[in-house]
Amino acid sequence: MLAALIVLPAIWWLLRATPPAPSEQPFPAFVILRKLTNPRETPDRTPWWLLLLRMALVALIITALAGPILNAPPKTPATGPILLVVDDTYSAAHHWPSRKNAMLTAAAEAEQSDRAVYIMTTAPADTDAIQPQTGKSAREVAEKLRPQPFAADRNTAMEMLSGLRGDQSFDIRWLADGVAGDDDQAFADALAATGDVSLFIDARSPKPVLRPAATDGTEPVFRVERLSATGDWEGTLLATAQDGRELARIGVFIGDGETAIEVGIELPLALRNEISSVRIENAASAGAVQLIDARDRRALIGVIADAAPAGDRLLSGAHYLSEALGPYAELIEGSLSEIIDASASVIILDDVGALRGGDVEKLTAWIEKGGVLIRFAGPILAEAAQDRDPPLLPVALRGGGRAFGGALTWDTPQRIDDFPADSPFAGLDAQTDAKIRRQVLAEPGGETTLRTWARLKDGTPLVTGVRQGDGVIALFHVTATPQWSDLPISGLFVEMLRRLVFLSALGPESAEAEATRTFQPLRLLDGYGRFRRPTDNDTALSAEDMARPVGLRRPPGFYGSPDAPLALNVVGEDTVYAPLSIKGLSTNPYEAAPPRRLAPPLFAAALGLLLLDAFAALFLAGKLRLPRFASVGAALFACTLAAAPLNDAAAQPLDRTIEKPTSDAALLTRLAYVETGDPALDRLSAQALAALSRELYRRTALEPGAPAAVDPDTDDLSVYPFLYWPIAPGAAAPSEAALTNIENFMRFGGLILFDTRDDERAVGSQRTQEGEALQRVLSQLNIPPLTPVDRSHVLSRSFYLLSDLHGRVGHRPVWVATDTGGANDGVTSVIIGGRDWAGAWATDDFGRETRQMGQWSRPAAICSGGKRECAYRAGVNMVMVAFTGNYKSDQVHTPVLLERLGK
Amino acid sequence: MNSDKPAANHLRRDAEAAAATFPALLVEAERIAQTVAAGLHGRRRAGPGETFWQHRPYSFGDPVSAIDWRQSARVASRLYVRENEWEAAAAVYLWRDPSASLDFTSLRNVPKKRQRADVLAVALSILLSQAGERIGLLGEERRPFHGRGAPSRILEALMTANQEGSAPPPAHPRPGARVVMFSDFYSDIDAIEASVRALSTSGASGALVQICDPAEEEFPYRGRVEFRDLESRDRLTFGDTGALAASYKAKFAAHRNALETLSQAAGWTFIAHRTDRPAQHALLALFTALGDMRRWSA
Repeated sequence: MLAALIVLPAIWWLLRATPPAPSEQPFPAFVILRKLTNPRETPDRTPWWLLLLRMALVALIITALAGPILNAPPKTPATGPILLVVDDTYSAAHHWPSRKNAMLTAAAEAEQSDRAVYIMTTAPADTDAIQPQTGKSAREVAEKLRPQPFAADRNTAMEMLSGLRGDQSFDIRWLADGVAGDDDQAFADALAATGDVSLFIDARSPKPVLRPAATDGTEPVFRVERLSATGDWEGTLLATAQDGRELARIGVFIGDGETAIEVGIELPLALRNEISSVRIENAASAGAVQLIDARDRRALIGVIADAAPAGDRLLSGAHYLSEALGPYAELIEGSLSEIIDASASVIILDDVGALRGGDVEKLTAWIEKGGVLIRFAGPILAEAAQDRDPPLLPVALRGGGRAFGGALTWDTPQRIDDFPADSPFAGLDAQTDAKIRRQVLAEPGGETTLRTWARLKDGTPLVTGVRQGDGVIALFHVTATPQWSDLPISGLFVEMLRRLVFLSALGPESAEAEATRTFQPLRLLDGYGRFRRPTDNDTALSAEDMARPVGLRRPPGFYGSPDAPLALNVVGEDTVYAPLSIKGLSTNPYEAAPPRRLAPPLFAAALGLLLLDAFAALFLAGKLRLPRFASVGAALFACTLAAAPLNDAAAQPLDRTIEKPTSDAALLTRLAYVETGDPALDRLSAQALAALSRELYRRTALEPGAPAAVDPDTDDLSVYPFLYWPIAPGAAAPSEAALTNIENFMRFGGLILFDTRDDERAVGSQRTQEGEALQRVLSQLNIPPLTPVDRSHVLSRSFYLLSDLHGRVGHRPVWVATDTGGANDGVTSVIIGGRDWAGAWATDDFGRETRQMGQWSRPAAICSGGKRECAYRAGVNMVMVAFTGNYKSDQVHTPVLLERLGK
Repeated sequence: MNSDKPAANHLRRDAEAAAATFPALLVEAERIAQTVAAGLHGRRRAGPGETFWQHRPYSFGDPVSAIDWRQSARVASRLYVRENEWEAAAAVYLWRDPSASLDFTSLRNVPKKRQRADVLAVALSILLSQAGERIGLLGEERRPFHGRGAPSRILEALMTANQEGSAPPPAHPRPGARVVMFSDFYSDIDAIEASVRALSTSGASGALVQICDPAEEEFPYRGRVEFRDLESRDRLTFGDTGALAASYKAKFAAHRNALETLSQAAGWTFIAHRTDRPAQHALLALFTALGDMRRWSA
């Protein structure tokens, strides 16, 4: 075919001879044109570049028709059919393309010399017998063949081999994966008996695998192994969660001469329990992936406490709980929904009073599913039980509590009685020295008796519990700290908690399912270690199957329910992973590249040149205007550019954007008030805080910006230190989001000033509309115990020395949180009163007071300079408390300290 | 006519733009002083007329009857002569070649020659009408237009004119009139010379404005080109036009030279204008050729 290139000179001459078509031009000055003598009619020559283009075009077509092949297989003298023995195993997946190339080479050879090809795969598969194929169909098979997530089963392969007819000598190529298996040598011998064997092994690759290793329980440990011990190997372990989030990335290094290393993944437990797969990055093999299921996880116990952690950990219940449960489970703290999402099996509510509606619903659903809720009593729960029945308690509680052994009580501290037979604690030895000094009391009644799991010697319940759905609610009538009883420091406490924790139907223990249960395939691994969806061929597995290693019809992957899937891995702890060693066979490396046909790209190039030639011809004849052509090109370019920014959308940051008012408030400190929806009241609040900010600016080091109006429902309160909340009559209870927002605000050191502005009207015990509204708001919040402000409170001395926090009016006391030394260093997070401070502070734009000052029944002896001045001083003090906390209350002790120093 | 309306508006706008930079064109009227009297208008200089123009001191040679005695009596020892304003109007006849060879442009952003010719004609008529001159179309039966409506009537006439041939029609303008011819003059030199001579013998002087496309002057063609005449069906094919450019340019220059010679012989002005240059260039040349220069130098 290449002989046709001879015609090229002929084409060249032909092209030179034919001129291009003339371009037509209108021309007015024909008078002058006519005078032009000697119009040279010799044709214009075809431009050299067009000539070259056309010659190249013809040459390309001729070459393409000749059918050239790159990397053509050498012509081998061997005859007879080719037998390809392919290890399509997980470790072959590492360098599958080189195996595919070897197969394609064999197919090309067979096609050339018209030999039959047999392809035999050694990974477990459904094939029955090996059929001879032509080179072309062998090529198709090779293109389609994919590595399987199994190890080689050479035993079965040997049986298949014996099924081949033995009267002809095969040209055998064994494309081995390089991993030792059973019966390797026997298989090699069988091959050698069938024909002329050449063994292909890729020497270069370390082919790392990942397998679980023994662990001491603190962190999961994996073992990275490789086949060859020569050279350094560096890689990365990647731990991902079920939703694909990357949880950890650990660099792994195996030095020269070593084949394995153990790597621990150090993560917080909540994250550790989220790990669903660990893989060696960039290792395309099912052997480099370990799937992790709930069986590998430790029990999670969520602890929620209302009281903020005390300064000394010996005073916090969480300490005793973690001491007691630490060996069996991991304790996590967080919000309720976080804990439930982390699939905790036990939740402990340590002295929690009010629970919100949404939380109660979530908890109830979780208990119905099998969760165990353990509650401990305490001052807050006792307080909550005083007014109303807190939800999620096994028995109704009587308000208050019972104290033994005090100065005014007759009873002595009680010991624990023997446990009832039907109690979960039955069998435990109740004979300890632990004494109970205080407890909350259950309403007596038949139900209470039935639900009592542990009682004191005098018969009052100590632990009550009830089964609800699959789960349990249990209540310890004492605190988790030794304040009320000795129970938390006794060994019995540990035993009791363990019994309760094991009641949980959730978590690791429940995964030990009955043998008859079947598990539907959820996500399966292919040979490359990629997840795929199950097909119809993938059947459900029984629990027995799940315990066996992977094999045919048992591909690795996740099985069971999406919530708690079970994992089936390719490489187990005891899977053999060693290099293949065969004696008596010649070994070859894999070929570099497969044969490649050059004709298609040549034809494509010829077509491109043809198009170019058409354009060139048009251009020469003047039919194609270049400017227009250029503008089309520019339009195309612009389209490409316009399409490009679309990709940038994927590069958006994932962080939640901070809203403008929030960032403003974060950059400049400012006071804030809660919008009530009443325009007059909101305007008054704004004016009052603006005036107070002005006074703060004038008198103190604090220089606040313009006050902000906030809606606790939507705004981020964390950027404000001080919140003024005027209660409008008939105000509705805040939404749940608002409540969470406000509780967080208080917990992290914010100060809320609740102002009912009804001081004058609330005479005696008469309740005002504002008072009722405040009740509605506060009943939903976890408000600490309250106490009236006295002259020794830090509010009275944080900036000015005041006798009282005067507002526009001043009759009734102002309430603040009792200093229990707990949350926020005992700094109050609420100030509740009805003195209409806003009315006293507010001025209009010209600095004139907008409200008349009212009556004070309390003296303001220390405060001189008028009532309004006193109100401003009260405001300054409140804001100072919000900023400096109890800094000034330390100085309460100054006289004492000075006195001591003097001595 | 309606379909021509946008084109006419466009043309009018271009003409206004071209004329905007010039003052009113007062035709130099040396000879028409005696011939024309109807529709007088002041020439803003002293001369025969009826309206007072200025007083000037008496100088030797002034007729005594010219002395304004009343004015002279007011001033001691000085005599004043009374001068009246010179009042006369001139007529200018325009001709724009109607032949098809003007419908040509070689480049996209250059106007057609006809368009440029029309613009120049209308711009000239605007300038003339501002000075109160009369404007007529050569070969037109109607009387010359004058006044502010003249440019639009000229424009209308240009748009509707349907004359044949590329030579100016035989006409007999009044003696002393001016004739301005806009054409590419791609016709026989003898025919052009004949019509110019006929006009000049009847006492008219004027200007020839040759409007050319840049391609006609530069001949920028290369390779094998087939040329097509716009007025006939003739075609000419040249194998290597690039080699012909020099010869073409020589012929073109000779043609232009002949035009120049014949206009000089008749005492006319010859103006060559290219469409890729602004219209103001040609207008300025016309202005200097026709204008009353003494008025500006005075």
